[in-house]
Amino acid sequence: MSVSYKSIQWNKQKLIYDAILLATVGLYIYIFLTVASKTGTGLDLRGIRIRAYGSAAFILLNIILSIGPLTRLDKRFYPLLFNRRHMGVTFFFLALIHAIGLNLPVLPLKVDGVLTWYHDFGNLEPLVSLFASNVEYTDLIRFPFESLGAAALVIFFVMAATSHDFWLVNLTAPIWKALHMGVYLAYGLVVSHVILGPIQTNQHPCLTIGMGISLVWIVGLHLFTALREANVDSQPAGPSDASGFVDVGSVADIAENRAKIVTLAGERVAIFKYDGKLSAVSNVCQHQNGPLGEGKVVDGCITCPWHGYQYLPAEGASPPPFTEKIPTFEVRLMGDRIWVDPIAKPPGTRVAPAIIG
Amino acid sequence: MNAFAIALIECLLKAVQIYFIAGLIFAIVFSLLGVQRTDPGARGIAPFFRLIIIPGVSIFWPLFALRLVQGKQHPIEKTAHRQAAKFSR
Ligand code: HEM
Ligand code: FES
Repeated sequence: MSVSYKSIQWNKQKLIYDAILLATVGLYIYIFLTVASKTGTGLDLRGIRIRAYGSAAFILLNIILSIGPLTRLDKRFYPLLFNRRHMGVTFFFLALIHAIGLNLPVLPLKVDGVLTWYHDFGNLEPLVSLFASNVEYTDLIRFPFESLGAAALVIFFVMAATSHDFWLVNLTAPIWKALHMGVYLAYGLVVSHVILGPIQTNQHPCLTIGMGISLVWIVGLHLFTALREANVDSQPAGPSDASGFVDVGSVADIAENRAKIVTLAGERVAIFKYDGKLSAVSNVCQHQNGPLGEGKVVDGCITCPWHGYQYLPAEGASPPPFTEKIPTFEVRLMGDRIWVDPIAKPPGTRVAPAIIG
Repeated sequence: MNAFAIALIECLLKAVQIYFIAGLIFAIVFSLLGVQRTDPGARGIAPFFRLIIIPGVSIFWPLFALRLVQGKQHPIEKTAHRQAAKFSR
């Protein structure tokens, strides 16, 4: 949690995930290169490499885009979420190698990308040649699909450059979120890049089928999850009493150290049951708006399921020395019914828990 | 190839390049000397943290330049609950 920024938070588990991630990517590229050069497509090795890195990047992008909705559907996908940022940065470098190649002075590794292969001759700068050699933007068949890839790459660069928590704080969460929603625009650009380019020139059935599956899967999964979430929010909270408190359900609905999530005054509230007590806080984590109500009470603290930020339930604040604060709500217990005041208290306001018993 | 398109593209790429290089110079100085003034979360030497914000600052540098000039820090974010809580008392 933020007392001061850390560079990158690696622990043993994340290192294992990163190792598996890099090994899988390496294996994929190796298999792609071997199979493609054995089957003799008439392409030279450099053309095959461009495709290997392009398709590896595309597959990883699909996995990254699936993780969010999958965790909404099943909690077992959470470990993938913890590692998503490193996947994003890996993806960015794959796409970058696809476009501009790799030529590190220190490593003996040298890979040609589109820029160094198609555009590094003649008297124009490669980058100028990339955009100027074809300007038939009105022709769907001869469309300069490279520009679509380049636009996507720019979006991915901005996202990779702003992935550290520093950016969440400095751009504020709503702007940061909006910026990172750009990934869907970029996904659309990449799909168009492939449909208007390689699917027409290369016409490999795997490419066409893969693109079809990707579109159906990504759009379908997101629609399905969005509908389910909207369903949760539209469920009416119970009746309210004279003082405005709302009946949100019975104590028996909530498991020990867990929460029930209800929508009050337009945003979700999490009511936690712990140590024979009930406390209600905003469901929105101060870090990246993670769903606190899907977390657990660990060592007396509400623990966010996304990145583990912690809050004391009655205080609505992280234990010192941490400084995060979330809004709290008054809770009353009448018999076994729980009543919550829908008016939020300022972040970090202490509210006495309702005692069960 | 179309001479007008080449001239236009060269010009645009040059503009982007100049913006980004100016940003890069600002970002290096900012990450060493400025960041602790606009963000109290940036403390200590933390060399890797300072390095890792450079690409992003090279893109968003006018924002940080403005904050430095105005002597401001990053804003505190708002959500519906936070807004409601502010008005409730
Ligand atoms: C400056 C940016 C980019 C340029 C210039 C570029 C250019 C190209 C070119 C020339 C091809 C080969 C077309 C063919 O074989 O007929 C290609 C294929 C491809 N590109 Fe890009 N691209 C860029 C960015 C991207 C990005 C960001 C992605 C994201 C995943 C991507 C994904 C792909 C895929 C999946 C293929 C098809 C690979 C295959 O045939 O198996 N490209 N691109
Ligand atoms: S959203 Fe990151 S810890 Fe809650």
